[in-house]
Amino acid sequence: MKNVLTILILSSAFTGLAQPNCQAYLYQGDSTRYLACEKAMEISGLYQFSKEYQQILDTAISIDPEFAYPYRAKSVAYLKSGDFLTWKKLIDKAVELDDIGYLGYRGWCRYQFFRDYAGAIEDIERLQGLGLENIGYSANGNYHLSIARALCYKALGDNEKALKIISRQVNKEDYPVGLYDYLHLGVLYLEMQQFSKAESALQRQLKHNPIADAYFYLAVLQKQSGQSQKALESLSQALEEYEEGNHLSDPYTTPTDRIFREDIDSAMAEISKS
Amino acid sequence: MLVHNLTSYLTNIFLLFLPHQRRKMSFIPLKIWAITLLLLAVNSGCSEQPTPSPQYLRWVGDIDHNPQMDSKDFETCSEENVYQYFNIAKDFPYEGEKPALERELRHVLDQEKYDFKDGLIRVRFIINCSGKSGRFRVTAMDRSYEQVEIPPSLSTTLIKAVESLQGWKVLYNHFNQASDYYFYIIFKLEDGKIKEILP
Repeated sequence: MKNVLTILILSSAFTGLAQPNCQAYLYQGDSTRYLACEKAMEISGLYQFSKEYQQILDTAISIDPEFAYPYRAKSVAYLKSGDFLTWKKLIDKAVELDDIGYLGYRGWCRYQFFRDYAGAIEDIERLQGLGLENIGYSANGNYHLSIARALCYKALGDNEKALKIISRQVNKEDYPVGLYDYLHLGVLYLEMQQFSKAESALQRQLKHNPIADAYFYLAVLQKQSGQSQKALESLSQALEEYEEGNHLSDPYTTPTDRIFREDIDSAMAEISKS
Repeated sequence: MLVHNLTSYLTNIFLLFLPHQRRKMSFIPLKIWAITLLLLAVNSGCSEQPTPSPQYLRWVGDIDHNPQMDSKDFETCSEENVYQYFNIAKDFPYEGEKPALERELRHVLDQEKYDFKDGLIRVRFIINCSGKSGRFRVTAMDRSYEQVEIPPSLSTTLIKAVESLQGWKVLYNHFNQASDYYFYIIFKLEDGKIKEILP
């Protein structure tokens, strides 16, 4: 029993973005990291942007300069304030010290905050090359990193590759479908003019997670095939969901394929006019 | 690595003083104590030249008033409580949301090809509790996330474009008080053209 407990503690020493388990470092005999970790945990309850938060992490780094976690924790406020220079220096250090723990996170942030598509692909593919069974999810939990990678290829104009990646991911056995996977798949098919597949994907999105964006793109398809009345109905549903706040959203940035109120209004006006 | 090993050695010794470890102390040989004392002495000698710690503002990204750069007409309502937009905004804090903001900026900016090949330029600023903007600051990076200087004329053009935006929403804090907040706009340029506007 004691051995099982020890294995559990050691194996949970660090799990990417989660808080590290300081006790595990003690069990591993790394008392310096244990002390640095305990110090870093003092940020709990403090505001990420505050001086105190940063100073505590500086102390943790001074105890153990090779501990990745405090660099990553320090970087977050810079990321959220759009300070790409400071953020990149800090997160690069975290990746240098723990590539498995932070490559996926850095890749996601490069995409989400700075639309650095090539950089995001590079990080995610480097992570894939490290032999993990599952490369994991975006920092907000909304996307598997494979889907994020696909969206980056799409942004760079390689729709075929994006389609291949998303299709393979959503068809994997035991893959829990992401909140917006089928929306992005539907939009991709729409952009590639594969309309029946686009409709099928959007309907799956609506069944799984009925958001305004999916109704909107469905309306685009319906209008395209001359079904103006159905398109108007879909737009009404899009508006209803939008007003309820049920649409693609993120507190920090504007997600790929997100629609806005004026998109719905313009589409409605255009159909009503014709 | 040497520093890490040394510190780890010293802290391992220190940890033996923790209550649950005390019973192990009797097993520490005398020569270990001697080495420890020596290392402590060396370490304290090194600590006479402390590394300078970073100087932080109240919050990361704070913009203090600079009379040489900032308009006299712009004032915050509470200098101590300028929030980050995402802490108090329910959605994109501009009338007509992001499409309106982007349209208005592009109307002013899309006429030209700029003297800045590839990279990101961030304009960070404050929206006060009346929805007015001020204290604009510009930072730029190349594609490798390295800081670069941008021509002053480009900096002025971008600030003027952002300053011309009139649709900022007044945001309310958790006490329902109209509040000042920070916002930023990142211009992603490729080959001198504005490719994307973030966030």
